[in-house]
Amino acid sequence: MNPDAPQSQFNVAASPHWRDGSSLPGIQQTWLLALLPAIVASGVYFGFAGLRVVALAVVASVIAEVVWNSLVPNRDFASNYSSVTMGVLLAFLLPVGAPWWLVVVGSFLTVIIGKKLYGGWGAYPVHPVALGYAFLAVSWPSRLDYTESLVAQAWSVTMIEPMRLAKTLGTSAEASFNLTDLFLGLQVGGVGNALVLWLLLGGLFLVLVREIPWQIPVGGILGVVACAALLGVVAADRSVSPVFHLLAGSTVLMIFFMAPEHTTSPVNPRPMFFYGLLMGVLMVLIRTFSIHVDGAIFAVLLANFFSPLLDRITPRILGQEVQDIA
Amino acid sequence: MNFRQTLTHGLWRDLPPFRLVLGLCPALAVTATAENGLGMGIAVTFVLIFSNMFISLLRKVIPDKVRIASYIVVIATLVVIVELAMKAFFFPLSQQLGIYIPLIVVNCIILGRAEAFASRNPVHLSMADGLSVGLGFSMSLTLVGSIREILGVGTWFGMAVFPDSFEPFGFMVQAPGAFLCLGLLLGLMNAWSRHRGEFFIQT
Repeated sequence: MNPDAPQSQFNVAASPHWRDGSSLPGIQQTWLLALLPAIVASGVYFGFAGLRVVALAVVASVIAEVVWNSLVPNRDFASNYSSVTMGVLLAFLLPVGAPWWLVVVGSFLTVIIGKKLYGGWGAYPVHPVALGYAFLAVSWPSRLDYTESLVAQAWSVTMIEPMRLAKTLGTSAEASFNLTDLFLGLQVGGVGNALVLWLLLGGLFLVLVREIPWQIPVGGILGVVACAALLGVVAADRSVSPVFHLLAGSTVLMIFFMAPEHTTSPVNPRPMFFYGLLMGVLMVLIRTFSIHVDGAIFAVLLANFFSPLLDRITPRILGQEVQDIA
Repeated sequence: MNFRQTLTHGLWRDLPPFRLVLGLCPALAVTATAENGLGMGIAVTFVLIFSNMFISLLRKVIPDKVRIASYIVVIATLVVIVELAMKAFFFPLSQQLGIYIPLIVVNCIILGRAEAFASRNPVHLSMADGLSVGLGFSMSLTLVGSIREILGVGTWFGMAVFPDSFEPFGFMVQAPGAFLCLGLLLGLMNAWSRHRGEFFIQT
C-alpha cells in the first residue's frame, strides 16, 4: 500500500468477528462437513443425476474463482474453500435435471457477480448463492421447474412441489402429503433443498460445534411458526399449518445454511434473533401471498438487506447517556 | 479548450453517462435493445446541438436570475420538435421510447451542458460540444443496448446473433439488468483509467 495515501482511521474487518482458533478454510470445511449428509442423501435418492449437478457447480465455482483471481489479484483466495460451499449450496437449489450450461452460468454469476465484485468473502451485502439463484430464476424460470425434472422418479408420494399445490389449493393441499415423507425428504424439490432430515442433521451439527449462532435458526423457526399460526387464524383458507411450512420446500436449508452465513447475518446476538425472526415471517408471507412458488430464497435476500440495520440494536450502557452514533 | 478538444472530449474524457454520470435515467430505461439506445441517442444529440446553439446565441440576453427557466423553454421547444418528427417518421420507435422522449426536457446532460458550457462559450464551440457529448451519449447507449439485447434476446438490431438453441439470458433486458450492465461498464472504464493513471470517477 502506498504509505503517502491517507490511512483509514477505522479498520473495519470482515465478518465473522469472534475468534475460536479456526481458520477461514476451517470454517468452510465445517460447513462442507455439515452439508455432506445431504449430498450423500441426494446421491441415494436421485442417483448420479443429483451428484452430477453438485459436482458441476463446485467445479465451475472454483474455476470461476481461480480465473478471476488470476485476472484481478485480491485477498480472497480460492484456497479458502468459500466457492466450494457456494457451489454446493447453489446446486442444492437447482433441479435434478438442470442442463449443464444453467449450472455453469449460475456458478459463474454466484462467484463473480455475487462474491468477487464486492471484494470476496466477508464483503458482500447479500448471500451470493441467493443472488445467483435469483438471476437464474428471473432468466430461465421454466428450467427451474422441480416438478418437471422429477417426472421419471418412481416414488409413491404426490409428485408435485408441496408449496406449489399449497399455492393453488390452499389449506386442502395438506391432505395430499404425508408429514413423515416430507421429513425424510421424499418430496419434489431441487437436488438437495428438500432433504429435510439430512439437512437438519448438518444444521444441528453446525449449531452444536458453535459454527453458527443458535439465535438465527431459533428465530427463524419461531418466525415461521408464529406467522403461519397467525395466518391460520386470519386467512384460514389460504394458509397451511406451521409444521407443513417447516417441512416443505427449502425452509430448513434457508434457516440453517443460507441465513446464518457469517458475512450477511448480523454480528450481535440480539440482532441475530430478530434477523432470523424477520426471515421466517417474510418466508411465510412470500409463500402465502406472492406469485413465487417457494419464496424462501427471496426472504433470505430481503433479510440480508436488513442485517446492518438490525446490528444497530445494541445493549444500552448503564449509567451513561447514550449519544446518537449516527 | 480549443475547437479540436471540444469536438473530441465527449467521446472519451467526458463520455456520458460513464464519465459525466449524467443522463442515467434514459441510459437505464430505454436501453433494452440496441435500436432503442441508438434512437434515444440521436434524439438527445439533436436536442443537445441546437439547445447549445440557441443558448450560446442568447447567453448575453438571458438574465442570470431566470436562466434555468429560459434554458428549459429552449430545450422544451426542441424536444417537442423531436417528438413530433419522431411520431411522424419513426412511429414504431416513438412507441417503444414512449414517455422517455418528452422526458429529454429534464435530462440533466442537456441542462448540464447548457449551464456548464453553452452559457459561457461562443456558438461554434457550443455546437461542437453538443455534437461531441451527443455522439458520446449515442455511443454509450448503443453499447449498453447492444450488450443487453445480444445477451437478453439473442439478437442485435433485430438480427439473430446466436443459433436457435441459445436460450436468452432474460435478466439482462429487465430493469436490474440495466443497472448491472451500466455498473460493470463503469467499473471496467474506471479500472482501465486507473491502470493508465488517468482521472476516474470515485465515490
